[in-house]
Amino acid sequence: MTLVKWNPSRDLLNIERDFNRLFKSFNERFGTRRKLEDDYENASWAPLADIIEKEDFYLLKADIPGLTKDDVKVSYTNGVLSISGERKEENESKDSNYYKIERSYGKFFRSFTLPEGIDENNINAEFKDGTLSIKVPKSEKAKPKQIEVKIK
Amino acid sequence: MEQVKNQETIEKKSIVDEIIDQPYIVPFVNIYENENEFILKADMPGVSKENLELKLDDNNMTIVGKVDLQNELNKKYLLKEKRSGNYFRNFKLSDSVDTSKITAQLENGQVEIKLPKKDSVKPRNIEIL
Repeated sequence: MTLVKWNPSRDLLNIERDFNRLFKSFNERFGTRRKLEDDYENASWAPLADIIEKEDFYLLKADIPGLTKDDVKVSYTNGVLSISGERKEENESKDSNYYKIERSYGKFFRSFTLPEGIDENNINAEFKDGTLSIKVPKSEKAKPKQIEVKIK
Repeated sequence: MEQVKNQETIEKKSIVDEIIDQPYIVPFVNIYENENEFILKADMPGVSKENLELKLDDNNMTIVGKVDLQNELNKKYLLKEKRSGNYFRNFKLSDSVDTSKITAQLENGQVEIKLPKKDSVKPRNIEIL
């Protein structure tokens, strides 16, 4: 048997999801919540991400191996950037025997609340070798400025 | 679609020597079996074809994927969940694999390795005379 290194981030995301399910089930039992069929509710996993800050933009990188750029949906609404899609397991046939299933598949969803001072009209995304890179430029106001102060 | 034949990669300069002292991560894999072959799929996002190596030494198969680590270290991270490291994982193949016919494909950060079974272990029908 091969040992797989434990990745705490991966587990934490799952715990967050499980807690949300738990609270959702309370709400549904007492009828205080209307039924929502959004991407978050249907998702079964969330990709891991890194966010890097550069001088004039933020770079968000998420690992979504095995998908093409057409399978990934990136959207931005009201300050929230979301990534969703589905990773299908194609070769799964009934007459195959599995030895190991370590990879996550199914629908995924992840959202990020972006800070103020971004140029939301110029967000662009690129998908290469299973990594999604989203570039969020900072608005002119938020960019660091150097002002020379004259000393009298 | 990119095809990497097992023999071609052996002739190239080995990536393993380059990354030997760098941190590594174990890629997640799915392995399954059907009548004719074993199929191994590994997640290696961020690895391009030039940086992927598949080595076969007797019955040991090693998958190595090189990631640009220098580039990743000198950055200001606001969130860091992904682990930085090269991909490295070793598998011991069973005797029923026909090692001369192994093929691999890399597509969108996902490697699919096909390990055909030897003819002698494939199921067959025996004709009753």
